[in-house]
Amino acid sequence: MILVVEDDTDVREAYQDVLAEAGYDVETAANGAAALDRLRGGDAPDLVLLDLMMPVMDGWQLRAMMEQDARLRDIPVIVVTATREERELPCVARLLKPVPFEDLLDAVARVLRS
Amino acid sequence: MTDPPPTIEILLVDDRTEDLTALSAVLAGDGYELISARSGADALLRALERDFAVIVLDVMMPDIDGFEVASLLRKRRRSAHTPIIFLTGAETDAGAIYRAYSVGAVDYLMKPVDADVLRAKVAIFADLFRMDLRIRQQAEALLSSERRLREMEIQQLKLANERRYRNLADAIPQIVWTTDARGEATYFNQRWAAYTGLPVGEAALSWLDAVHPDERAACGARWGDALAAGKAFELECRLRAGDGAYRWHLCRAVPDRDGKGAIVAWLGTHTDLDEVLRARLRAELLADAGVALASSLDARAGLRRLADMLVVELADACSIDAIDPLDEDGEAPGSIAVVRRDPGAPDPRTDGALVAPIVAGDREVGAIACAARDRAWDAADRAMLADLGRRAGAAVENARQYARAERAVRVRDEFLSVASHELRTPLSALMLQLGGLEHMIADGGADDRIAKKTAAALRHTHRLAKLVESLLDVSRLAAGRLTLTVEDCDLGELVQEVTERLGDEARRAGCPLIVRAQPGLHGACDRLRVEQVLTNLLGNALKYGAGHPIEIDVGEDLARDAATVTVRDHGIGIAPDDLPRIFDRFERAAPARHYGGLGLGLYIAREIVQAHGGWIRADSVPGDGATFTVGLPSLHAESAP
Repeated sequence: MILVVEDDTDVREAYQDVLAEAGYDVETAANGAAALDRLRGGDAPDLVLLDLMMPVMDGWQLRAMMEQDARLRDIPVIVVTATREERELPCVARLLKPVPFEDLLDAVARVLRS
Repeated sequence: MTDPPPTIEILLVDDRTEDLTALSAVLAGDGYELISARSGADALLRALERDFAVIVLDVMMPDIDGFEVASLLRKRRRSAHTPIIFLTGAETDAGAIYRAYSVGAVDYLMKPVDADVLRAKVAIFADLFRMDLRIRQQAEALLSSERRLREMEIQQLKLANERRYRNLADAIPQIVWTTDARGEATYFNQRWAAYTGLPVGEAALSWLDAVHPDERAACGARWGDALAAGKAFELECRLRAGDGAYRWHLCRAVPDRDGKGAIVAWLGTHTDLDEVLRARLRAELLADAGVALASSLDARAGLRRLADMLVVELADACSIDAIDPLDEDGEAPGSIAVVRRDPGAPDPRTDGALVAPIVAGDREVGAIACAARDRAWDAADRAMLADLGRRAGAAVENARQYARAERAVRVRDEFLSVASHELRTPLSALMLQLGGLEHMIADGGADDRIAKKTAAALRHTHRLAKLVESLLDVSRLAAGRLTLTVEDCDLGELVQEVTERLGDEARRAGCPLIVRAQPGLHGACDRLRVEQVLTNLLGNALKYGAGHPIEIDVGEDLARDAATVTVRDHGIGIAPDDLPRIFDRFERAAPARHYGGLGLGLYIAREIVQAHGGWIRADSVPGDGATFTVGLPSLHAESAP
């Protein structure tokens, strides 16, 4: 299961559509706080697709919270950044917006295969 | 002259008393003073004391005879020319007479003396003596009267000279004075009286009393040294005028020496330097202030330096108030206030005696106010401050313009950054959805036309994404936020990847891509950024050289020790005038109507290359295409194993 964390509805739906069509289970959260609730409230996802700039709780904050939680610490995270200059955070891959269709599926497949 | 007739003295010399008596008897009564001598020695003694008109000398005398006496008399200056009449005995021979003449006799008489003859001869010599005396007296009188005349003339000349010098001294604009050898004032010209406002008599006090207290001690010491050493004195100091104001003077004094070199007086001048010094000061102040105000776009710093200068050079306190150019947009405009005030100086804001507005354009944006304890300013000072006010106004205006321009640039760059971020969000969704659609079509075997249109839509989306990325790059570069993610890259491979990716586009543009890559060139660089450079250059080549082959060469510039990529098209080329500016932001050589683009590609390319420590250059023969060369010093050929 992939948890998509993205504040923009259109983009969130696009991720969901594309990944669902590629055969993945997808759940979504509109910000870091909602994602943290979901992560603590249910089964751990196989992968988190994380946007960084979000209201309420941004990507960096969510990632820091996950680091502090032993149950969440090891979930792989793919970060989608607006610019390459943005602050680093621990993740298995960084994708640059706008992400081409193939690049997204390649990255997801690579992480889930390993 | 009516001097009494001179006494004629006659010396009678004879060892025999009765003869002397006889001689005296003969000559008495003719007004002569008769002096008798009874021996040669006695005669010689007498002749030392007086000037005799004639000496009547007996030849035959014991001890020293007449001849010997005569010859001795002749040797003396006083009696060298005194006529001598010898008295000889009857027995005297011709030899004796001859001898008498040879020792200086003028005549001789035989004893016994004929009274008339003696009287007559003596009378002749007496007359001669009298005449000679008169001539000498007249000559003396003549000489002395001439001397008196000369002295009078000299005296008159002296007076005339003195008068002339005084007139001259009064005529020249300098203060002129003299002292005696010890430095006590002896004379001051009118100018001094006029300057000090003191009556001429009182003005003639020591000029040192008028020297400004700050300089008086040093001045007095220097003057004392000059007096002691007899050397010229020179010093610049302030002298108090009648109205209490001080003006700078050059004070000089030189010793006046007599013919033997002894100092008889000192001649001094005070030259008013105030105007000269003030003008020089004003010119320097204006120049320095101009530099200070122009050298910084920080208005506050410039005004602070101006205030510092004014307090040193013109006033004891200075305040400068101006509208802060940076706060212009605020509701209540802020102000710049600079105050420099020496201890004890009046408050320039309330007691400012010298005030000028700060004028920017036609607006008054502030004021400069100066105050001082004891300083008088003239029209030139006011004019200078007015000038400084205009210069300060220009500086404030420049700072305002600069701040405004800077703000505009910042706002634009921020806008570009926000806009490109905002544009990217829907682009993300669009790109993914189109990607998904393309994928579905490929899986579902839909209509070929739908597949083609979807592929085109996706291509356009990529292009749009690239434009948006350019905008973000520009704002990033403007903010100096371009950072490189450096890794080891092979330049040939990198070029290959880019040409492959652009293969479709090249085919559509009708441009065969001819790649000649020297293998093994590699080194540290930001792969994505270098790809971006190559993409931009190739994109331009396709745009401006459509329909012609494009040559891409990867090699080395051995002289500059760098790997190079050359992209050569055969399109319209670039006019020589345009070459220098094509790497600037928003510049383009080709008209926008015919060729699209934001005019950012080459600017971004150059910035990226320079961030790598490299260079980019363009060469062109208009009509025969353009050649762009990128040099990357961090990439080299692999050293031979």
